[in-house]
Amino acid sequence: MKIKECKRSLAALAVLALLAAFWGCESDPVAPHDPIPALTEEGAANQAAMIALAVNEVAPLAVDYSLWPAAKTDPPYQYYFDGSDNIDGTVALDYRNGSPTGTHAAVPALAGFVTIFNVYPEGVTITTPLGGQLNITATIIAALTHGLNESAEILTGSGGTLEAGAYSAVFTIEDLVVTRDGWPTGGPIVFTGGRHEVEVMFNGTAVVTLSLDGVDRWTFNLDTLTLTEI
Amino acid sequence: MGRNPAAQPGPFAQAREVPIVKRARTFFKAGTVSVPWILFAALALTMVQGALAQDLEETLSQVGEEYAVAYSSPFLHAFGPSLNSGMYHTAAIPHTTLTIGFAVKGMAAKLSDEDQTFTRVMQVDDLGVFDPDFDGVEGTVVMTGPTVFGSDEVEGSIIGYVNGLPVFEQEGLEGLWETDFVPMVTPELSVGGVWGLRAVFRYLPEVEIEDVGKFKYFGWGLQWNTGEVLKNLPVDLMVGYGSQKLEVGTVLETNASMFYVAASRQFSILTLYGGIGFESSDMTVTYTYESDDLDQDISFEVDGAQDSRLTIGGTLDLGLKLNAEIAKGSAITTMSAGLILGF
Repeated sequence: MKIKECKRSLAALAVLALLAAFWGCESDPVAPHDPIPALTEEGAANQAAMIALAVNEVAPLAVDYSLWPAAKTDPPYQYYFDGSDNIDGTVALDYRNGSPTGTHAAVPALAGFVTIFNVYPEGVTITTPLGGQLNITATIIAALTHGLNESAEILTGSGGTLEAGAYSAVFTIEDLVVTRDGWPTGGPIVFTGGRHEVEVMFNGTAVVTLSLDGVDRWTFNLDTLTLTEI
Repeated sequence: MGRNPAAQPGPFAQAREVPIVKRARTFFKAGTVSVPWILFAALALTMVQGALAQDLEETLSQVGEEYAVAYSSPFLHAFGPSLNSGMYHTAAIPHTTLTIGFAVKGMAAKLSDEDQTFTRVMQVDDLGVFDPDFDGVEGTVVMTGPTVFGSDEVEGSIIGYVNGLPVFEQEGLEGLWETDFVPMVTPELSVGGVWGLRAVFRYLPEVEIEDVGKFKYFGWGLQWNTGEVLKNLPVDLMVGYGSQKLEVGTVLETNASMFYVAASRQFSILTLYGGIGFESSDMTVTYTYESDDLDQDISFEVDGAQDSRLTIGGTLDLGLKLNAEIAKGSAITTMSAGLILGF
């Protein structure tokens, strides 16, 4: 009887061992996993232009002190874009004295530096000229100049990310100067998406220049939102 | 060779069948399990499959053909190979003794982890097909999200792009049933023992499923043991063919067939078996796409992903026979287990 039971146990173990040996056999995937098409040069330019559009909308907040209440509230200040001007979302502005990480400024108009950052992880939403939407997150660090030439110069270390559906990209911003009412000057914004690196330069007009591999290839009109090949 | 004579076809088979009957009767008397209970379980699980088809139709009605094919692809590709599983549990077939077997077989295709999501990319000349605002505009459409067996908490999306910028986004589908197995249960009847032949039938009575139609399932197979022709082999050897058809109303129709060669050898109460099979399957899905403008009848047929398989398994004879097998296919790994009563 014991021999019989032993045989049964061994047999069961053999079956289990057999199944265990094959348990790791993976099936081939049968659902499609098509690769996302590589970003074209023009696609990269379009995305870089959308970043220029966002920076042009967000960065001037740094020097528009009229936005903030006269009585000091707990920093940072928050500004909500309601979807007009192709931008939707909330950003925060943190005014500091002395350095970007100095003490909080009692009054924004007297601050030496400001850091602008997105309040929510998804950043701000940009509505593209054809109606689609993409998301941009960014941290913009700027040195403030007061007086007659009220302006903010965006410092190295500023930049962020762009999510355009299946595409994502990163960008940096430096040496860009914004004022409350005029168009920005300087730059560049350096956009890196896919295999492409596009530089965006501002010149104080609505028209910015986009270059690829050091060659000026497009212009983008911040007013009409049109990309034109040079 | 030390081979158990009871495993051999022909006169030895008679000696083996008698104790099985005794043991099976004892088993029934013990009340451990009953045929109606097994049938009920098979029917209940089959109704789950019918309900899945119903859910699938309702779900697919929200999307067009391209999305539907990609979304349901694990089901489309893996269901046929699952049907073709568990076709045998031994290659020993008596040559002169009539035998009847009743079994409940459970089969499952093991999906790749990657099959819980999909990404379908199309370059299109006219995005207006997806969004009338973009009539005549050339672009790229990316459909992505969970498949039918993916997460039911994540929603898929259909995004149109023009020159790298998204121009429209539409909601896709959530997964219906988060799993990496495609299961199937079927009762099976086998009759054989004459000239080494055995006929196998898989059948479920027609069941009406609300809003979908009748669930129908029928399969047949024929197996032949080569013992009379190829004598003195160290193993039992057989060849077989099986064909099955499953219909769920007008929504879904699946055909699966397989030709196979199998060998087995008995060691006391354990029979080890293995085989190679060449198979094909297809699935046709028909539904109505309820778009904003106009309902559109859609029908598509997809071939199963698999054309061959290598099977190994074991059958334990404990009065009631229990078998388990695994098949490494050209695309899909399937597993099968069965509960078999032999007379």
